[in-house]
Amino acid sequence: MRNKKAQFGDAIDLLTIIILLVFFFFFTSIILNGSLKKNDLTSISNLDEIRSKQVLFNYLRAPTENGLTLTELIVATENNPSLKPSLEKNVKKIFLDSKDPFFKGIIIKYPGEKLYYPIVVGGGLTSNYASAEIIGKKQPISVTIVGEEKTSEGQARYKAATGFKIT
Amino acid sequence: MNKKALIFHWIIVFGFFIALGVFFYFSQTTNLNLEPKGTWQIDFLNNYYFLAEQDLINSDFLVKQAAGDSIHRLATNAGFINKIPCGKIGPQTRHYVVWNKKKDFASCAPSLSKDFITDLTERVNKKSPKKNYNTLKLEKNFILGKANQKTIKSTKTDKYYALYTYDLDFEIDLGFDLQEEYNLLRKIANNLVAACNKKSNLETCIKNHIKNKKLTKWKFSECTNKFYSEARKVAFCVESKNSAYKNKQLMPIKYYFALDFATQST
Repeated sequence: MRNKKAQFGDAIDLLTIIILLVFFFFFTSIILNGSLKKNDLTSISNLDEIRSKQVLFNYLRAPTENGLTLTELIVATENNPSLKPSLEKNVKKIFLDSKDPFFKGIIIKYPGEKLYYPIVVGGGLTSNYASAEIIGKKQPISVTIVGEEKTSEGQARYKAATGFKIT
Repeated sequence: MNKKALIFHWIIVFGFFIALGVFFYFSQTTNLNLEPKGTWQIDFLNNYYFLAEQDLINSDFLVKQAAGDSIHRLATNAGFINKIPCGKIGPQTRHYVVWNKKKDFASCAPSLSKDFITDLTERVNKKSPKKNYNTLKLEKNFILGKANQKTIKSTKTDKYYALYTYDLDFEIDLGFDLQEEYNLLRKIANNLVAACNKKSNLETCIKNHIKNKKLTKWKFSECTNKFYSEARKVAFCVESKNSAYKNKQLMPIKYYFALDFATQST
C-alpha cells in the first residue's frame, strides 16, 4: 500500500480533474445553449414571416364594404385617388376586426409614386413583414403588411441609441 | 508520489487546460452548422406555396376584369353577342337592340348566361392561353370555372428540391346577380310597354310612367333625357347601381336597349 502522502496527492489530482470537468461541462452547455437559442430566435422570426404572409393573403382576399375585395380596392384607388378615404376606412376595419393585435396595417407602394402609402392602426413601433405584388394599371403594386416591431430591429435600435448590445 | 508520476499528473492537468482553450476558441469561430428548425418547410412555403397564392389572387383578379369587360359588352348590346332576333334601331353612332316585338318579350329574350360565358371564355383564354379556362358557369353572384393545373419546380441552383402543383380553378364573386338584374330590367320594360303601347303620345306616357314609378335610373338614348324613337321603337339607357371593370377601371354598368311600343293593329 502506498504511503499517506501519495494518497493525498492522488486525491488532490482527482479532485482537480473533477472540478475542471464540472467547469468544462458547465461552459459547454452555456455555449451550445446560446447557439440553440439563436437558432430558436431565427425559427420564431421565420414563423412570424410565414404567419404574416398568410395573414396578408387572407386580407387581400377579404371583402370590403364596397363589395370589392381589398386587392380590388387597392387597384381601384390607383385609378381613382378619391377612393383613398374608403380604402383607409376598410383597411382599418379589417385590422381592427381581426382581433390579432400583432399586425397593425399595410404599406402600399404604387408604381410611379415616390412616396409609400401607409395605413396603420394604432401607435407604437412597427416593422415591415411580408410583401405581395398585385396587378396594377400598368405595373405591379407592392403591398407590405406591418406588425409589431421585430426583436432584431428593436435590438438594433437600442444599440444605436445607447451603444450597448442587448444579449 | 515519485517524480515520473508527478510529470504525468501535470501533463494531464495542462493538457486538459489546452483542450479547454482549443474548445472555447473553435466554439466561437467554427460554424457548428446547426440549422434553425423547419428551414425546408419555410423555404417551401415562401418560394412555392405563397408564390402560388399570389398567382391565384392575380389570376382571379384578371378573370374578374375580363368578366367586367364581357358584362359591359353585353350591356351595350342588350344582352346579346351575335344573333339579334328582333332587330335594332338607332343612329350610326350607336345601335339599340330591340327587346320585344309588340307585347312579345319571350321571343326577343337574350340567352344571357350562354352569351356571357362564351364571351368570357374567349377573353380569359386570349389573356392567358396556357391556363386553358373551361367549363365556366354563371351561378347567381358567382362565376365558376376550371383551368389547367400549374406546377412550380425547384431549379438546380435552389437549395432544396421541391415540386408544387396547384389548381387554377376559380370562383369569383361579381357582387351582384347578373341574370337577376336583366330579369328585373325586362320586367320593368314589360310593364312600361303594357302601360304605353296604346297611347298616341308615347313620349309623354313613357316619361310619366318613369316619373310615377320612380325609375330614376331610366334614361333615353345616351343616358340623357333626349328622347329617341323610330316607328314607336324607343331607345333606352339604364344605369345600374352595380359596377364592373371596363378596361381595368370600375365603371357603372349602362344597359342600352330599345322597346317596341307598336300596338297589335299598327
